Amino acid sequence: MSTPDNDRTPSPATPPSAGGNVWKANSLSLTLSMPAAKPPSPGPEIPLPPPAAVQPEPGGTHPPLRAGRRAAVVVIGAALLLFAAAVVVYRQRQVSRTAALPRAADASPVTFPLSTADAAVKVPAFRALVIGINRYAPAGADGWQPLQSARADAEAVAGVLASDYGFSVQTLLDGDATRAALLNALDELATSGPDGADLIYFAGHGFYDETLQEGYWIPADARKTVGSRPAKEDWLWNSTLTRLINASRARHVLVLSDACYSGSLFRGDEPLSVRGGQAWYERAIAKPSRYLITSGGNEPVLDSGAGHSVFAQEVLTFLTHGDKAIFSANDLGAALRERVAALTGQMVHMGPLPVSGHAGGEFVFIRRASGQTPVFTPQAAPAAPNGSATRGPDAPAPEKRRESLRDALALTQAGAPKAANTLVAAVLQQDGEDRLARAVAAHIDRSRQQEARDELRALISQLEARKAAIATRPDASAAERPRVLACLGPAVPQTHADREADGLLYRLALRAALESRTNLRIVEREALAAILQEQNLGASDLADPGARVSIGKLLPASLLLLGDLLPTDSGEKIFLRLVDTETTQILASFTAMREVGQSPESVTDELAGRIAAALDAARPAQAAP
Amino acid sequence: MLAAAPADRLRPSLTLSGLQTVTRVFTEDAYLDGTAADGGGLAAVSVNGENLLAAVDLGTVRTYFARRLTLDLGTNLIEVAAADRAGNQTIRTFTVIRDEPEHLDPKHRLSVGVPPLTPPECGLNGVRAKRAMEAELTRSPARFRLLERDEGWEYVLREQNLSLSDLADPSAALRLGKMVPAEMLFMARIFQEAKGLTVHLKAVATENGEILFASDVYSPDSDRALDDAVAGLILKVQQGFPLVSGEILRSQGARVTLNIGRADGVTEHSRFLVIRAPSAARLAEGRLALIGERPVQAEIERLQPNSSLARIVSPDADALVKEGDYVYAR
Repeated sequence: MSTPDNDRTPSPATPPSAGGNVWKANSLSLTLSMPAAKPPSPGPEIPLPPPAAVQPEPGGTHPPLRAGRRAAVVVIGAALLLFAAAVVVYRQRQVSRTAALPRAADASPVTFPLSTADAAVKVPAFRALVIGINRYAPAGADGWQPLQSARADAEAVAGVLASDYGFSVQTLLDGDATRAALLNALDELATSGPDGADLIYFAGHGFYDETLQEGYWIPADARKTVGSRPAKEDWLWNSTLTRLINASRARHVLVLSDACYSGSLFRGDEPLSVRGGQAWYERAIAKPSRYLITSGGNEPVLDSGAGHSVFAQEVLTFLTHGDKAIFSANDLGAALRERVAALTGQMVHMGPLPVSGHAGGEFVFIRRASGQTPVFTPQAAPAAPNGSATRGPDAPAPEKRRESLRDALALTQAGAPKAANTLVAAVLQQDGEDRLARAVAAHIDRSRQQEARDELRALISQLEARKAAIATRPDASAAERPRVLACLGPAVPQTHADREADGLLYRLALRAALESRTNLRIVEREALAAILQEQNLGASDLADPGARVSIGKLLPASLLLLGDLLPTDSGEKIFLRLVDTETTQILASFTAMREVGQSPESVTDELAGRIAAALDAARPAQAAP
Repeated sequence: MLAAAPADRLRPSLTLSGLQTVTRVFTEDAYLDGTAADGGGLAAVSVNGENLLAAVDLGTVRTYFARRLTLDLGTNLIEVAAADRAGNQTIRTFTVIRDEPEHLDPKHRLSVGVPPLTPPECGLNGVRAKRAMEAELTRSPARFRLLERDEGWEYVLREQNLSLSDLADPSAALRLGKMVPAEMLFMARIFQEAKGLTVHLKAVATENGEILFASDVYSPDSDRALDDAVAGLILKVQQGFPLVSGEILRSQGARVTLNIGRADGVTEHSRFLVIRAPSAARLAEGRLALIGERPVQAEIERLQPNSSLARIVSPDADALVKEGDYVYAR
């Protein structure tokens, strides 16, 4: 497999003298010299904060500039003054590691001037998740190289968002930005409120797999490789991120990604649209949006600029010194595109994410310092395209429903059950009798219950130390054995791993159909591997028989349903086989076609009927073992 | 004033022939006939709920009925009922057990495993071809006993492992040590042609690696064509292992002479079950010669057009096999 080499390119410790880094080094020197020589465009010269407004950081090491000294600086050159002021402002806005800043509602009111009093628009609650990772835990030859500016970028961006725009900010920096923490934070963000405007900022390593055409953010605890293969199981897949954003209840989601290959989140740029002024922003903020701005396309991006990456520096400059009190993500992206391209050659990408939650709105920034009277007119959340007030899938069509359920399963597997439940709830809201949706909801519940069982098992292991007892096994031959089936198929081939959720969807549908029509015990095997890891516990003399009974006994499956889900020219073909686990004999096999547009349930119902008949023939329900 | 006629409280009479209360058969059908009679007139005569009394015969005092019944494998319950116009009813029930002839039990067929197709780069075509083979091989009546190998092996072992553990419910414990070894492997390979695919299959004996059969099919490059071609390939394999039966003409120690040969489709190394039956026509009623729980087997050593020499491969089974016994292909 051919994959481009990793990451947001670490800055060389010393200027490289040859090879591909020469270009980067040249770009770097250009970056360092540009801010002082020329104000950023578009717009007029950057309005410097008045000296009196520059306050020392409590306990900081940088005293305020005095007037006489400042005059000297002016004589030396405006460039140095600009740099010094920027440093002070930056330090003033730093936020502590992982500390959540006061929520927007607690801060001073957000201003949003309206064109007419009757048309007051509800301003969303601004929330931000800001991630910056310089140091990656698995060090060594197989680990990720440390970055220089990602953490500082994140801290500075978090500071500006909180102080100038009233965002409630959560930061995840370095070792705190584990995969689990990222997923939890994203999951929380996606499910925390129905009418928010969520900004997700990521600065760290990225990766792109050309074969799968999948991009990744690299969490702080992620390995780079396992053996000779990429450790993708440790990374945050762009497809997972996209699903989470699609499932989000927020009105607006904006992702700012300063990582390599972030452009893979796109399927295409949206052409710049003409902005019409105040009325346009009012309409834009009312409609749901899912928007993305990345520091580059599917390419490496620079790590360092003047203390920040070039991308981050330009974001900070625009947010801090932009001349508009109200502007959209598109305005920000357009400014960044021009500046970053001029300084580095990187092409900033921007546009709506390819998800159904985007309904033509825009993420609108409202600067707190504009001094306007706050306008908060309670209104119902704007209707989504399908009339639903939530950000879920926008049409009840079977294909859409199926896609939502598939996304929900993928989210569950990725460890984001709350967002998964949101998606399933949206489907059930449209059709409460949707059997497949109910099966998926039950599966998500089981996943949660599994977590609860894990906790229970941990408790049992503690009890065992005090209660050593040996369980006596009842005579196996004394009881009539039940027919127990584990439904493990259909699965998707490894070459189509991105469609694994499709396979799971079919398995769930088959289980539901079989349970409803056969005298059969269907057992869960999705999580068996984890359970079997506890075999040592179960088989040991340490196990407390009473406690084991309380969590139930596992039924070994005497029958397995295995198979494949294969794409065909006109849809999908399902191959299933019924296997006797005692003899390994394949008792029967089944095939079915699903044409495009046909519901999976109709296929699984028909299959279940044939499977039940084969089961009754091979293993009559009343047969003695 | 006339006294009212006494109410009809007599149930109809029902006479049946052809079936005992419990009848054991090897056929797919059973035949049932009989007569029903009632002095007050019949209202219905039914077999398993289906009324056989024609409308023009309603009220008749006597009727003959007959029915051919299709049987499922195993136990079949048959209920015959006659009712008169006063509502009195007579019901007879019968049990017909349809047995599979012992030698036709699928567990006696040659056991086969199908490894993944080669080369590994054949990708989805390989998976699709393998699944199509399995579908054809398990089509009833199955010529071979198909075993799960490779992909499903891990899952099978996991269930057995679970069954051994303390975590398992003893009432559902698996019977371990019953795994069946594969006597043959159907090893297939896909060749990409300029246009389309060729699938080549060889049946290899696991005992000595000998190739027992080989054939191939060509498929134009499309999903449906590949499925059809592979199904055809399996049919060709099955034709290479015909289910023939014959008689033991002579028995001498571990060697027996059979009255079937190459002209009957017998090939070298073909394996047979030994059956003791009243006659060739009543082979279904025959019983397998067994050593313990295992059937006695004969393997062809030398072939003639219309006869063959076979060796009894089951140890200590020589004395069990006699002239006049029958053989049936595994």
